[in-house]
Amino acid sequence: MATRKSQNLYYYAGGKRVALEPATDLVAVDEARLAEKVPDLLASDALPSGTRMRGIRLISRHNLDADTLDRLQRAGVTQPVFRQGDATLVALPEIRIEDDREETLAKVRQFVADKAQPITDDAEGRLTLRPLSDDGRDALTLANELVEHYKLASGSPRFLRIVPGPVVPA
Amino acid sequence: MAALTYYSDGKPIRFSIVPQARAMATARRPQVTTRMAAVPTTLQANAALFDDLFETVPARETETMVVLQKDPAVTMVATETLTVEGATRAELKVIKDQFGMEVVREGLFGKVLLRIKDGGGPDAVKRVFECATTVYERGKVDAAHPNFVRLVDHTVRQPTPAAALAPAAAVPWWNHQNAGTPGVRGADAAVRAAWTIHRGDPAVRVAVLDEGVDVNHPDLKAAVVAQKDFAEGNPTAMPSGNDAHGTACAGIIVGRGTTYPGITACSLVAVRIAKGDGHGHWIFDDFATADAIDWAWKDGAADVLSNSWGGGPPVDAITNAFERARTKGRGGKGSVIAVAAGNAHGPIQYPATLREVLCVGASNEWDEQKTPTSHDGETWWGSCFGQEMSLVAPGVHIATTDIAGAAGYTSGNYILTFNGTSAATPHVAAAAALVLSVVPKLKEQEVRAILTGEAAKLTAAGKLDPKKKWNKEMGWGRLDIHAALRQALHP
Repeated sequence: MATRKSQNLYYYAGGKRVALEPATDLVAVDEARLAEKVPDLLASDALPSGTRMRGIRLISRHNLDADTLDRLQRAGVTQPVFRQGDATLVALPEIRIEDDREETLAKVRQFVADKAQPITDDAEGRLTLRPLSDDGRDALTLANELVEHYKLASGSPRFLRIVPGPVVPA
Repeated sequence: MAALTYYSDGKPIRFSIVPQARAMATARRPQVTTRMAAVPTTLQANAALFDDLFETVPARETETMVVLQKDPAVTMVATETLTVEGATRAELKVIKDQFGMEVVREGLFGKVLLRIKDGGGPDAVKRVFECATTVYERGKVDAAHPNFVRLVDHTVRQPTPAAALAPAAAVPWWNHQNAGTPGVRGADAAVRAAWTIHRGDPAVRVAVLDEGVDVNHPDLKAAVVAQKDFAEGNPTAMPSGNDAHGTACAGIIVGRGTTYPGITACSLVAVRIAKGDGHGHWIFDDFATADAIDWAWKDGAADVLSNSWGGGPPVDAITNAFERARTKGRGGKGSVIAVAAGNAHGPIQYPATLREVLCVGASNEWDEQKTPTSHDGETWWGSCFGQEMSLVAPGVHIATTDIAGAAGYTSGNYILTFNGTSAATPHVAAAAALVLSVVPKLKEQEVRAILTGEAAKLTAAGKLDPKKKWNKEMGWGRLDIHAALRQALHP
């Protein structure tokens, strides 16, 4: 299993590393995991509604009291949030690998099978993986590991992307 | 000679001959763009029909042509040709016998181009007008009108000052045909001129990937042929709340209304990929967006993908999906991809940074690069620029559809001030759709080459670039749809 010690503050795009900066002022709460592990917080006033999409609730850290933040972190129901330029990225627990070389994909299949990581979709030239931990940090680490080890054409975690909206009309 | 008259949309249009002026038939003065204008412009013209006029002009270069003046801003050269629509064989025979005409070519949609048999000159022009009027008044045709060559002088580039800076002074449709009030005459995408060639084939599909489209809007509903929501999995591509951006983009391309018509009569594939967060940001999901792109070219069968979105770092899933669209779309000929450069007046944003997509910047009524200090007065944004820039298109004060009813940018069905490279990009997507309407066999890279090659070569300050070079602010220049269609038809 990928380790969090590796400090994977990058991912690969176009064969190059793209650096990521942790967005320490934001907390991304995974609502599915929250419902499972800390259900009382789901409808609690202590948890602001924030920005929501794809089961993620993105909240400003300063809108959370210390106790709530501690409970969220101890329960492991947050996903990693990064900044890159003016974009905010939330890494979700899913990896997409694309490579035209079937023999390479076969090796990836074996690798993830050995690590008991489930393949959720296996289409022509594409594998979709989901780390057992349901943690975006592990998705980032595993994606980087696979790209680096197998020289994959592409492989990255699924990001939720928040960018400045279009210019406002006059 | 008395004033000359013909009928357009049932109303008489009168011209006076400029007695002291004659134009050489081949007159293509330096720095003057010659455009063919259909009369009436509301009629869908056949490309070959009007191109034939251009073909006939050089053949008569020893003759001079009559110059007409309808408006101080427009000089028109009369020809000895006439277009008739909806005439029976019997009526055509009467026309030929009565006015000494011969058929030059029969076009689509019942159009016939006729010409005075015995030469040009003022008498021939007069007979053409008489014929047009007589035939129309006889009531046995749908339309009958003379053909003109319209000269638009791009060297007159004096900005309209002061008052023009107020958005309220902006003239709807300037992006289609700019009369120069405000701005510079001809600083437009040449849409009206393009319509003399084609209004767009409904078989050509344009995908708008955005924050949803009001697919029930009266001006858009008829254009929608496919839709899907990749942002939230809803059954339709309808936007949420006031998320009106996609509706505005779609209206520029396929608006069916008569008040603020879109550029084409092509069809719409509405694809929802994002939603607003209510605080000026967009949220979207990379993998879902990649899937949306794949769906658009594959299941949606989109010929063109219009992308007025972007920002943040690159991700392979999206890059790969665009590449598949570009190489596998349209049965291997490739779907054309237009992407907005961004509005931060800085480096171009991803995915417009991708190679081999059309990276679209914004221009204004003065043919300038849109910047916070350009003449248009929108001080809060500027078009991004850089080495990836392909071309620019109108991006300020654009009249288009808004979410119908109270939601959206306005409380009505339209917005007159849509803007940004978001507004410019649908112009280029529409242009690609029109090019594919007239020559469907073109490959994706050929369409890109035509659009960039035929763009009006400009400097960032809006001056014609005599060296016709690429620059990072304007790319290969400002979109000229009419020129692109002509090039597509006659490479």
